[in-house]
Amino acid sequence: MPETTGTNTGWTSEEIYMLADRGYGFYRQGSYQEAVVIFEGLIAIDPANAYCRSALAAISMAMGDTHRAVSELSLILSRNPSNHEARARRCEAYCELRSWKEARQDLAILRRNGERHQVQRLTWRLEASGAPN
Amino acid sequence: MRVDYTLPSIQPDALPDLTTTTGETGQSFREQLRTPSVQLPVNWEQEMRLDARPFTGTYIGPPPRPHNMEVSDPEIERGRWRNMLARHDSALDPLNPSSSEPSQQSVRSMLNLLLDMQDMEDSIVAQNVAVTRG
Repeated sequence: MPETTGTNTGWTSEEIYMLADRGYGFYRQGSYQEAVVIFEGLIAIDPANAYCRSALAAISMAMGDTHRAVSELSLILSRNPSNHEARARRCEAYCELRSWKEARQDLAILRRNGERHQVQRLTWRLEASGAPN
Repeated sequence: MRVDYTLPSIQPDALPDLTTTTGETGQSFREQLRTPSVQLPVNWEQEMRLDARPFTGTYIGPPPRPHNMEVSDPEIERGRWRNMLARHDSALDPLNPSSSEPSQQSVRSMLNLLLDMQDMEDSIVAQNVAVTRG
Protein backbone atom coordinates (compact mmCIF):
# COMPACT_ATOMS: atom_id res chain seq x y z
CA MET A 1 0.00 0.00 0.00
CA PRO A 2 1.60 3.28 -1.02
CA GLU A 3 2.11 5.72 1.81
CA THR A 4 0.24 9.00 1.88
CA THR A 5 1.70 12.43 2.56
CA GLY A 6 1.60 13.89 6.03
CA THR A 7 -0.62 16.84 5.25
CA ASN A 8 -3.03 15.61 2.61
CA THR A 9 -4.03 12.01 3.10
CA GLY A 10 -5.67 11.77 -0.33
CA TRP A 11 -2.36 11.75 -2.22
CA THR A 12 0.24 9.01 -2.14
CA SER A 13 4.00 9.53 -2.42
CA GLU A 14 3.88 7.73 -5.78
CA GLU A 15 1.29 10.18 -7.09
CA ILE A 16 3.34 13.13 -5.87
CA TYR A 17 6.36 11.69 -7.68
CA MET A 18 4.36 11.26 -10.90
CA LEU A 19 3.17 14.87 -10.74
CA ALA A 20 6.64 16.20 -9.87
CA ASP A 21 8.04 14.27 -12.81
CA ARG A 22 5.46 15.88 -15.10
CA GLY A 23 6.39 19.31 -13.69
CA TYR A 24 10.06 18.52 -14.28
CA GLY A 25 9.19 17.60 -17.86
CA PHE A 26 7.56 20.99 -18.38
CA TYR A 27 10.64 22.67 -16.93
CA ARG A 28 12.94 20.76 -19.30
CA GLN A 29 10.77 21.81 -22.25
CA GLY A 30 10.96 25.43 -21.16
CA SER A 31 7.23 25.54 -20.34
CA TYR A 32 7.87 27.39 -17.11
CA GLN A 33 4.32 28.66 -16.60
CA GLU A 34 2.91 25.13 -16.70
CA ALA A 35 5.71 23.87 -14.44
CA VAL A 36 4.86 26.59 -11.90
CA VAL A 37 1.19 25.52 -11.88
CA ILE A 38 2.21 21.90 -11.17
CA PHE A 39 4.70 22.73 -8.43
CA GLU A 40 2.33 25.22 -6.76
CA GLY A 41 -0.29 22.48 -6.64
CA LEU A 42 2.22 20.03 -5.21
CA ILE A 43 3.30 22.46 -2.50
CA ALA A 44 -0.35 22.88 -1.53
CA ILE A 45 -0.61 19.09 -1.22
CA ASP A 46 2.74 18.57 0.53
CA PRO A 47 4.14 21.84 1.97
CA ALA A 48 7.20 20.12 3.46
CA ASN A 49 8.35 18.71 0.11
CA ALA A 50 11.79 20.32 -0.32
CA TYR A 51 12.23 19.13 -3.91
CA CYS A 52 8.99 20.76 -5.11
CA ARG A 53 9.68 24.00 -3.27
CA SER A 54 13.25 24.11 -4.54
CA ALA A 55 12.02 23.45 -8.08
CA LEU A 56 9.49 26.26 -7.75
CA ALA A 57 12.26 28.58 -6.55
CA ALA A 58 14.50 27.64 -9.48
CA ILE A 59 11.74 28.19 -12.02
CA SER A 60 10.80 31.50 -10.38
CA MET A 61 14.41 32.59 -10.78
CA ALA A 62 14.41 31.50 -14.41
CA MET A 63 11.26 33.59 -14.94
CA GLY A 64 12.83 36.61 -13.26
CA ASP A 65 10.79 36.44 -10.04
CA THR A 66 13.81 36.39 -7.73
CA HIS A 67 11.90 37.69 -4.68
CA ARG A 68 9.63 34.68 -4.80
CA ALA A 69 12.64 32.37 -5.17
CA VAL A 70 14.18 33.86 -2.02
CA SER A 71 10.96 33.44 -0.05
CA GLU A 72 10.55 29.78 -1.12
CA LEU A 73 14.19 28.99 -0.35
CA SER A 74 13.96 30.74 3.03
CA LEU A 75 11.02 28.48 3.88
CA ILE A 76 13.08 25.40 3.04
CA LEU A 77 15.98 26.66 5.15
CA SER A 78 13.73 27.51 8.09
CA ARG A 79 12.71 23.83 8.17
CA ASN A 80 16.14 22.44 7.38
CA PRO A 81 19.12 24.82 7.77
CA SER A 82 21.54 22.12 6.58
CA ASN A 83 20.05 22.04 3.06
CA HIS A 84 23.19 23.39 1.39
CA GLU A 85 21.77 23.20 -2.11
CA ALA A 86 18.93 25.52 -1.10
CA ARG A 87 21.39 27.86 0.60
CA ALA A 88 23.62 28.01 -2.48
CA ARG A 89 20.58 28.72 -4.60
CA ARG A 90 19.46 31.49 -2.22
CA CYS A 91 22.95 33.00 -2.24
CA GLU A 92 22.72 33.20 -6.01
CA ALA A 93 19.27 34.77 -5.77
CA TYR A 94 20.63 37.38 -3.35
CA CYS A 95 23.37 38.13 -5.89
CA GLU A 96 20.65 38.75 -8.49
CA LEU A 97 18.94 41.13 -6.07
CA ARG A 98 22.29 42.74 -5.23
CA SER A 99 21.67 41.98 -1.56
CA TRP A 100 25.37 41.58 -0.87
CA LYS A 101 25.18 41.30 2.91
CA GLU A 102 22.72 38.40 2.81
CA ALA A 103 24.62 36.72 -0.02
CA ARG A 104 27.86 36.89 1.97
CA GLN A 105 26.12 35.46 5.05
CA ASP A 106 24.94 32.42 3.06
CA LEU A 107 28.37 32.09 1.49
CA ALA A 108 30.03 32.13 4.93
CA ILE A 109 27.72 29.34 6.15
CA LEU A 110 28.52 27.26 3.08
CA ARG A 111 32.23 27.84 3.62
CA ARG A 112 31.98 26.78 7.28
CA ASN A 113 30.28 23.57 6.18
CA GLY A 114 32.99 22.70 3.69
CA GLU A 115 30.91 23.16 0.54
CA ARG A 116 34.06 23.90 -1.45
CA HIS A 117 32.63 23.53 -4.92
CA GLN A 118 29.67 25.83 -4.18
CA VAL A 119 31.87 28.35 -2.35
CA GLN A 120 34.29 28.63 -5.25
CA ARG A 121 31.50 29.08 -7.75
CA LEU A 122 29.57 31.60 -5.65
CA THR A 123 32.69 33.62 -4.82
CA TRP A 124 33.22 34.06 -8.56
CA ARG A 125 29.53 34.84 -8.93
CA LEU A 126 29.76 37.60 -6.31
CA GLU A 127 32.82 39.07 -7.97
CA ALA A 128 31.22 38.93 -11.39
CA SER A 129 28.14 40.72 -10.06
CA GLY A 130 30.35 43.56 -8.89
CA ALA A 131 29.84 43.03 -5.17
CA PRO A 132 31.87 45.47 -3.06
CA ASN A 133 34.66 43.88 -0.99
CA MET B 1 58.64 -56.08 -35.15
CA ARG B 2 56.93 -53.08 -33.60
CA VAL B 3 55.95 -50.12 -35.78
CA ASP B 4 55.59 -46.73 -34.13
CA TYR B 5 52.92 -44.76 -35.98
CA THR B 6 53.18 -41.66 -33.86
CA LEU B 7 54.89 -38.77 -35.54
CA PRO B 8 57.29 -37.02 -33.22
CA SER B 9 56.09 -33.53 -34.07
CA ILE B 10 52.52 -34.12 -32.94
CA GLN B 11 53.18 -36.10 -29.83
CA PRO B 12 51.23 -34.71 -26.88
CA ASP B 13 54.29 -33.81 -24.89
CA ALA B 14 55.77 -32.04 -27.91
CA LEU B 15 52.84 -29.63 -28.27
CA PRO B 16 53.59 -26.05 -27.32
CA ASP B 17 52.27 -25.07 -23.91
CA LEU B 18 49.70 -22.30 -24.50
CA THR B 19 49.69 -21.20 -20.89
CA THR B 20 53.39 -20.49 -20.96
CA THR B 21 53.29 -18.67 -24.30
CA THR B 22 50.51 -16.29 -23.11
CA GLY B 23 52.35 -15.81 -19.86
CA GLU B 24 53.80 -12.55 -21.11
CA THR B 25 50.52 -10.69 -20.67
CA GLY B 26 49.19 -12.90 -17.90
CA GLN B 27 45.89 -13.32 -19.79
CA SER B 28 44.43 -16.30 -21.56
CA PHE B 29 43.07 -16.02 -25.08
CA ARG B 30 39.51 -15.85 -23.72
CA GLU B 31 40.41 -13.05 -21.32
CA GLN B 32 42.04 -11.13 -24.12
CA LEU B 33 38.84 -11.39 -26.14
CA ARG B 34 36.80 -9.93 -23.30
CA THR B 35 39.12 -7.00 -22.76
CA PRO B 36 38.52 -4.23 -25.33
CA SER B 37 41.86 -3.46 -26.90
CA VAL B 38 40.68 -0.19 -28.46
CA GLN B 39 39.24 2.56 -26.30
CA LEU B 40 35.73 3.63 -27.27
CA PRO B 41 35.67 7.01 -28.98
CA VAL B 42 34.46 9.92 -26.85
CA ASN B 43 32.63 12.73 -28.56
CA TRP B 44 33.83 16.28 -28.20
CA GLU B 45 31.01 17.26 -25.83
CA GLN B 46 31.98 14.50 -23.39
CA GLU B 47 35.65 15.33 -23.87
CA MET B 48 35.02 18.95 -22.88
CA ARG B 49 32.52 17.91 -20.16
CA LEU B 50 29.76 19.86 -21.85
CA ASP B 51 27.33 16.98 -21.31
CA ALA B 52 27.41 17.52 -17.53
CA ARG B 53 25.08 20.38 -16.68
CA PRO B 54 26.57 22.74 -14.13
CA PHE B 55 24.61 23.55 -11.00
CA THR B 56 23.20 27.05 -11.05
CA GLY B 57 20.28 28.68 -9.30
CA THR B 58 17.94 28.00 -12.20
CA TYR B 59 18.85 24.32 -12.63
CA ILE B 60 16.84 21.46 -11.14
CA GLY B 61 17.42 17.74 -11.41
CA PRO B 62 14.73 15.08 -11.77
CA PRO B 63 12.58 14.31 -8.72
CA PRO B 64 13.73 11.47 -6.46
CA ARG B 65 11.80 8.29 -7.22
CA PRO B 66 10.16 6.62 -4.18
CA HIS B 67 11.94 3.37 -3.28
CA ASN B 68 8.72 1.37 -3.14
CA MET B 69 7.58 2.45 -6.60
CA GLU B 70 7.84 -0.34 -9.13
CA VAL B 71 8.66 0.33 -12.77
CA SER B 72 5.83 -0.79 -15.03
CA ASP B 73 5.27 -0.62 -18.76
CA PRO B 74 4.00 2.61 -20.38
CA GLU B 75 0.48 1.31 -20.85
CA ILE B 76 0.05 0.60 -17.14
CA GLU B 77 1.65 3.96 -16.34
CA ARG B 78 -0.85 5.72 -18.63
CA GLY B 79 -3.74 3.92 -16.94
CA ARG B 80 -2.42 4.82 -13.51
CA TRP B 81 -2.05 8.45 -14.53
CA ARG B 82 -5.57 8.59 -15.95
CA ASN B 83 -7.07 6.98 -12.83
CA MET B 84 -5.20 9.37 -10.58
CA LEU B 85 -6.53 12.45 -12.39
CA ALA B 86 -10.09 11.11 -12.44
CA ARG B 87 -10.03 10.12 -8.76
CA HIS B 88 -8.67 13.43 -7.48
CA ASP B 89 -10.78 15.50 -9.82
CA SER B 90 -13.95 13.98 -8.41
CA ALA B 91 -12.65 14.00 -4.82
CA LEU B 92 -11.60 17.66 -4.74
CA ASP B 93 -14.32 19.72 -3.11
CA PRO B 94 -17.20 18.54 -5.32
CA LEU B 95 -19.73 20.80 -3.58
CA ASN B 96 -17.75 23.97 -4.19
CA PRO B 97 -15.60 23.84 -7.32
CA SER B 98 -14.46 27.45 -6.95
CA SER B 99 -13.25 27.14 -3.37
CA SER B 100 -11.66 30.30 -2.03
CA GLU B 101 -8.97 28.48 -0.04
CA PRO B 102 -5.62 29.22 -1.79
CA SER B 103 -4.24 25.69 -1.41
CA GLN B 104 -7.44 24.21 -2.87
CA GLN B 105 -7.26 26.67 -5.74
CA SER B 106 -3.67 25.68 -6.52
CA VAL B 107 -4.58 21.99 -6.60
CA ARG B 108 -7.64 22.74 -8.72
CA SER B 109 -5.51 24.75 -11.21
CA MET B 110 -3.00 21.92 -11.41
CA LEU B 111 -5.72 19.34 -12.03
CA ASN B 112 -7.43 21.54 -14.63
CA LEU B 113 -4.16 21.96 -16.52
CA LEU B 114 -3.46 18.22 -16.46
CA LEU B 115 -7.03 17.33 -17.46
CA ASP B 116 -6.86 19.77 -20.39
CA MET B 117 -3.61 18.17 -21.49
CA GLN B 118 -5.18 14.75 -21.16
CA ASP B 119 -8.04 15.83 -23.42
CA MET B 120 -5.57 17.14 -25.99
CA GLU B 121 -3.59 13.89 -25.90
CA ASP B 122 -6.80 11.89 -26.33
CA SER B 123 -7.90 13.97 -29.33
CA ILE B 124 -4.47 13.54 -30.98
CA VAL B 125 -4.65 9.77 -30.47
CA ALA B 126 -8.20 9.69 -31.83
CA GLN B 127 -7.10 11.70 -34.88
CA ASN B 128 -4.18 9.34 -35.51
CA VAL B 129 -6.44 6.31 -35.27
CA ALA B 130 -8.89 7.91 -37.72
CA VAL B 131 -6.09 8.70 -40.19
CA THR B 132 -4.55 5.21 -40.04
CA ARG B 133 -7.95 3.55 -40.52
CA GLY B 134 -8.69 5.80 -43.49
